[in-house]
Amino acid sequence: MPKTKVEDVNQNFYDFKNADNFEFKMDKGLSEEIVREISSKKNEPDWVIEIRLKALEIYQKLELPVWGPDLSELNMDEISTYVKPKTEMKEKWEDVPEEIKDTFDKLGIPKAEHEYLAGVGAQYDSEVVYHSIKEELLKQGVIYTDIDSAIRDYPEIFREYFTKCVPLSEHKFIALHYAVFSGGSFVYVPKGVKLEMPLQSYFRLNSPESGQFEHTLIIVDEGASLQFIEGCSAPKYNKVNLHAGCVELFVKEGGYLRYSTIENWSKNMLNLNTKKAIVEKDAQVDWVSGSFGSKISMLYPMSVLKGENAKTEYTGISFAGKGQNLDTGFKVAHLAPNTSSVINSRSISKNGGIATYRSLVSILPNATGSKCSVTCDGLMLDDISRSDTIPVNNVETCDVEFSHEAKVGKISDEAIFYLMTRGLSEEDAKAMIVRGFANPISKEFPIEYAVEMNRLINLELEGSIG
Amino acid sequence: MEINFSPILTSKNYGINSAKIDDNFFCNQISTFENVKIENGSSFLKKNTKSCTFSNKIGEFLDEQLSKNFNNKLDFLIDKSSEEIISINFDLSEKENALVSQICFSVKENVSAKILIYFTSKTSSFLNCGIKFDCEKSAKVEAIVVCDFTPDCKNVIRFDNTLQENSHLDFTVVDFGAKASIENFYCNLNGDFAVSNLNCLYIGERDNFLDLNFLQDVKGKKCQANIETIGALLGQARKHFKGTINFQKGCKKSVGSEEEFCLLLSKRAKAKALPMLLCKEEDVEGRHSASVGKIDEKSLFYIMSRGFSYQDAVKLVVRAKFGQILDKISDESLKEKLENIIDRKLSYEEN
Repeated sequence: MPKTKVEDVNQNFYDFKNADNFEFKMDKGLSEEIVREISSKKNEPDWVIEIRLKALEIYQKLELPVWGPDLSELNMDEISTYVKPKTEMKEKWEDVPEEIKDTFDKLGIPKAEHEYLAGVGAQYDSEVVYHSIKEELLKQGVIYTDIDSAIRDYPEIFREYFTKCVPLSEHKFIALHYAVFSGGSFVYVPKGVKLEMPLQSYFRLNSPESGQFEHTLIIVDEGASLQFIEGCSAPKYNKVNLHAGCVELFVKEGGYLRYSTIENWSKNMLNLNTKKAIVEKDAQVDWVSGSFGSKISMLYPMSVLKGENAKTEYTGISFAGKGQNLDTGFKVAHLAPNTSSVINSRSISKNGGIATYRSLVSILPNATGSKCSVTCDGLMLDDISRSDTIPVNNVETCDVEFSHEAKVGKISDEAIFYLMTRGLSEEDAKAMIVRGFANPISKEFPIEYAVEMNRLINLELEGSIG
Repeated sequence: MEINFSPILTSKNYGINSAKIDDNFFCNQISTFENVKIENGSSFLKKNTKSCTFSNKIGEFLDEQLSKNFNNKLDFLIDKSSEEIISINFDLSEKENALVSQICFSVKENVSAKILIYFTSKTSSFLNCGIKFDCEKSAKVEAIVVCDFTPDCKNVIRFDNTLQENSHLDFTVVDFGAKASIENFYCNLNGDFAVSNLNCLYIGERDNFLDLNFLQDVKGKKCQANIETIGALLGQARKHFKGTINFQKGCKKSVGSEEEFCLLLSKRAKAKALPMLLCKEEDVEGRHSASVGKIDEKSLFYIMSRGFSYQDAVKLVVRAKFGQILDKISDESLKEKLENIIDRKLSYEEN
C-alpha cells in the first residue's frame, strides 16, 4: 500500500523572530557572579539569593543523567541565562512596547484574553512584560501576578510554598533552574473561590543562545478551583536554546486544578522542564499536555497524592517529527488511602522522530484501596522513526487495583480497508484514523485550544505519495 | 554491587535498572559437581570442554566465573526428533552446594525436542548457570526449567537463545524463589517466521528477592515474540520484573505481546515492574498489559461460601491463575509435582 504523507507540525506560524533587542543580556555561562548579578538586578531579599547559591552548588555537584536523550550538546558556557527585555511589566496592553505587542498579537494572546480568559500573563525572554486579571477576581482575593512581584508583595505566602513541592536537589536541571530562575507566574485562589474562566501564561523566548527559567507557583486553597493554561513558543535559531522551567502546584483539601500546556518550542530548543503537584485530601489535579516542539524534551509532570481520596488524571500527546527526540510521560506517587490516578498517553512519531513514553507509578504501603489505570499508545507513521514505551510500576501494598496497557504500531490495514469499503479514499481513511488517534487528547483542551492543537498537528494528508 | 541491568536505563531513582546485591552474594569456592542425572539425553551428549559464549551479560564476576570456572558442562547436539523428554536433574546438596554450569543445546534443522532442566537444593547453595539454545531452521523446542531452591539459596540463570527461520521455542521457567534469584532471558529471533514464547511462573516468599530480566529481540520478518509472567508474592518478598520486546528495524509484520500479572498475598510484599516496548519498525504490532493486586474478594467469598477455609480458597484462586502457565506443561507428573510445591508454599504460616 502506498505511503500517505503526514506533514510535520507546521512551525512557520511560530517561527517569526524579532531583532535581539534587550535592555540587558547576561554574559554567557554560569557562575556565582552571574547568579548574584541576576539576583541583584531583581533587587531580591537575602533568602532568595541564598537559595540561588545553594542551588548552584548542587547543580555543579550533580552529573548529567545517564538515561534518556543525549544532552551532550548542551554547553552552559554558550547560554545566556538572563535576558531583560526593553520594558517593565505593564498592566495595560497598550503600554507594552510595539514590537513585543506585535509578537503576542500574532500568537493571539490579547484576543484570547478578551474572549475567554480570566487573566493573562505574557513573558518575553526572561521577564514578564504584561499581567492582567479581571477586576471581580481581585475582589474575591485571587492573586495572579509575576514571581518578582510575588516575592516583593506576598513574601510570607510565597516563601511558605516556594521550593517545597520541587526541592532544589531533585535533579541537575532543577538545581540549574533555582540558580537562575526569572519570570513566571504566582497564583493564589482563596478558599471556596471557583474560577469559571481560565488563567493563561504565555512564554516566548526570542533571544538566541539563551535560556528561559520561569517559575510557576500555584496554590489552590480548600474547596477552590482553577483552570490554568500554559503556552510556549520560540523562533528557530541555529544554536541551542534551553528551557528549564519549574511548576509547583499545591491543591488543598477539596480543591481542583486543571493544568493544560501546549508546548511548541522551536526545534533548536532543549526543553528540560519540571512540573509537580501536591494534592491534598479529596482534591484533584488534572494535567493536559501537548508536546509538539523542541529538539529534545524531557518532561514528566508528577502528582503526589498526599491526602486521602486525592485524584489525578493525565492526558498527554506528543508528536515527534524530523530531528526531534521527545521523551515525555508522567509520574504519580500514591501516598494515602483510596487515592486514584488515570493516565492516558498517546504519541505519534514520523520522519525520523523519536517518541518515548517514560513513566513512574508508585503505590506506597499506606495507599490502601488505591486505584491506578495506565494506557499508552504509540503510532509510527514510517519505518525511520522510533517509538519506545518505558514505564516503571512500583506497588508496595496488596490492597490495590493497578492495570497498565500499552500498544505500539502503525495504522491498521484493516481499519483503512474498512473505511475504504465505506467509500473513503485511502488518504481520507488514514487522515481520519490519525485524527481519531489524537482526538481523545485534543478534546480535553478548552475548545479554542483544541482548534489550536489540531492546527498544530496539521494532519493534512496530501494524497497517496509513494 | 549492581548486576542484571535492564537493556534500556531509566531514572536510577526508580530503583529498577539493576539488581543490587551484597558482596557476599558470590561464591568463590567452586569444587567438583557430580550430582547430575540425565534421562533420554545421553545419546545426544557431545564431548566438549570448550567454553561456550553467552551473549547476555549479568555482571563481570558472574560472567567470568561462568566462562572460565565452571564445574559442570553439558553439550547436546540434537539431530533427531523425539517425543521423549530429555530430563536433566541437578541436586545441590551440602557436599556439592555450588554449581557453575554451562548447558548448551544445538538443535538441527527440522528437529523437535522436549527438554526439562530441574534444579533442586535442600540446603543453602549457589548456582551460576548458562543455558543456551541454538535452533536451526524449522527446529521446534519445548523447554522447561524449574528452580526449586530453599529460601536461603542464591541463584543466577541466564538463557541465551537464537532462533533461525521458522524455528519455534516454547520456554517455561518456574522459579520458586530464593534469597536472591536472578534471571536473564535473551532470545534473538533472527530468522523470518521465528516464534519465541516465554512463560514464567514464580512464587516469592519470606525475604526472597527475584530479579527477572527478559528480552525478546525481534529481527526477522513475521516473527512472534511473547512474554507471559504470572506470580505471587508472600511474606516480605520483593520482585523486579524487567520485560522488553525490542522490534528491530526490518522485522516487518512481526507481533509481540507482554503480559504480567502479580498477586500480592501479603501486605509487606513489593512488586516493581519495567515492561518495555521498543520499536524501530513501523509495520509491527506490540502490546503490553500488566496488573497487580490482591485476590478478588468476591471470588474468595464465593468459594468460602461453598465451605472452603480462607487458606484453601486462596490456594484455589492462585492455582486457577497459575493454571494459565501450568496447563502448558504436558508432563502430568511434573505438573502435579509443581502444584504440590505451590500448595506447600501457600500454606507456610510465616508468609
